[in-house]
Amino acid sequence: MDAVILSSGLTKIYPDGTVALRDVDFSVERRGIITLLGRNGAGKTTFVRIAATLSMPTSGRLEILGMDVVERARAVRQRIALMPQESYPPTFPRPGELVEAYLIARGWSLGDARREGRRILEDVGLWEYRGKTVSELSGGMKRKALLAMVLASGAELMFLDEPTVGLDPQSRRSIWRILEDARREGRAILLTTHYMEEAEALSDDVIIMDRGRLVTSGDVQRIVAGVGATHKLEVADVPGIAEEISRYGRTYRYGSRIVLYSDRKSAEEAAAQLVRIYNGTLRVREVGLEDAFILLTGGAEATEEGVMGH
Amino acid sequence: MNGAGFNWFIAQLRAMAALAWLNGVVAAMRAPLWIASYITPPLSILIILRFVSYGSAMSFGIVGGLAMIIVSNGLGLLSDAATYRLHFKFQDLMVAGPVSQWAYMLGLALSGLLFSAPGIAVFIALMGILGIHVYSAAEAAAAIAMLWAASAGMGFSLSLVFRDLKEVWSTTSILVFAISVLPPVYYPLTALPEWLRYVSLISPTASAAALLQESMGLIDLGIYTRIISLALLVAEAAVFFAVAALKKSS
Repeated sequence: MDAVILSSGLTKIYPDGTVALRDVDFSVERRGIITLLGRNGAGKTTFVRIAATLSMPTSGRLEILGMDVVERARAVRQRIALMPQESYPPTFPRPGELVEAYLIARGWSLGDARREGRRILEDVGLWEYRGKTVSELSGGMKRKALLAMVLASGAELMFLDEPTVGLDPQSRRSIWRILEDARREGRAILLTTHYMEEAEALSDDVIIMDRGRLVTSGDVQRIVAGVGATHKLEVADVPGIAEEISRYGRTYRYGSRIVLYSDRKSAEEAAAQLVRIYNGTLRVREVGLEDAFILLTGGAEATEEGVMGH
Repeated sequence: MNGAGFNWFIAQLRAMAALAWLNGVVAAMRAPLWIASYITPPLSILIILRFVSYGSAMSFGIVGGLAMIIVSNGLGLLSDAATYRLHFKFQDLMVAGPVSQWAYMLGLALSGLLFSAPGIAVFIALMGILGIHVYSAAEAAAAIAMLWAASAGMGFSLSLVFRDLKEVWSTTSILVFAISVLPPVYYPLTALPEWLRYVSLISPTASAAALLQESMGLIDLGIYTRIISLALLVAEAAVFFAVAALKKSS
């Protein structure tokens, strides 16, 4: 079976000289939810735009569902759908009209578009708002209307560029459920997000990029395992604290916080030791994708003591 | 064209129709005042011409009004398409799929035509009321169709250039003024010195208005000027459409 995404030496340099992507190599073999993570300016949206045939790579090669996005752009477009970053539906139609027009434009018959429009609006919870125009919907509902269009398309691979940004926790979770349903149907989703708990909850595979380069890719467990620690202890940075806890593991400074990465036992010992300084209970937590992301993308500065202590 | 190519072409026509319905019919039903906004500027000029010329320039006012409605509509695509591209990201959503960029563009252009159709009907009705005859319906129809195509192509291709909507809005109104009021649209081409006539024909509105004026027997262009006017309109429509269909937004 063809890889869902196969990127070889993919490079994009904009006319003003900005290098958005540099020699990006990775492949995703299985369908499911693939999450592309990176700081602002990491190259996520550029990657999505090239994959969606909206922008040309400067060099390298990108295959989507086994097809080169440059040489077989028209064939690629038959099998993909895109919800762009910061996109909004036009305000005057009703949600059902949006979905129907989108499906008919993609080649569906009017009858099928109507039926699928109703099914998807029920699925995303917009059916009861079918009589309202988009301008009368809340921000979350507008995102759902766009999502309904893309999901209804039946595309094998959907690109969702930050679909939950700016939504309240309930709306985000209802979108997660919709994405999980799409995964169960055997479809592939390339999702970009800045919400680490979202990536951790949804992803089958994660790709981390930084400043246009691939940092790592793989499943969440493998990436988290790359941190080399299972637990962490995070405390406010006070004078001498880094030296105090560095003997328990590696320590990093995130702004005004010091984080110790270690195994559970050492982290709990450190917490017990530090209780007298911080006047309260310190919680030891499991290391997650956010920790891996921050460490891998250089968001944390290793303390001198931590490096020496380790 | 092979079977797959034919099916693809039919699919693109469906896409155009779906977009024209969504952006034209649905939008017009929800906001009918937009339709009136296309009629008011040419109607204002017509009313002024009626009183300034004591009715003698009404025929030119009708021709100018028709041209202005069509070109306002075509250049209105600049605003619509840029808003859809820059603010809604609707263009990316549509063309990252089976809908081609030219089908998307023509769908939006058709939806604009739906908006200007009532205005065109009003001006055609005024022609009947004022007893203005069209002696060459084919010439008039060709002029209107090519003006629509050229201005829509110009509007869409320019929409791909801008990165800020504020620039788009100001540019649209300046362009409408520059190509539908300054050149010989509301006045006869023959009022210009001979050397300037050919320069002015570069504006698609001037070419179309000259052909319309001739089709109504208001001026005599002569065979060469007629051919040049039509050729320029066709060439401009083709160039703008090609640019619009081929240019990627980034």
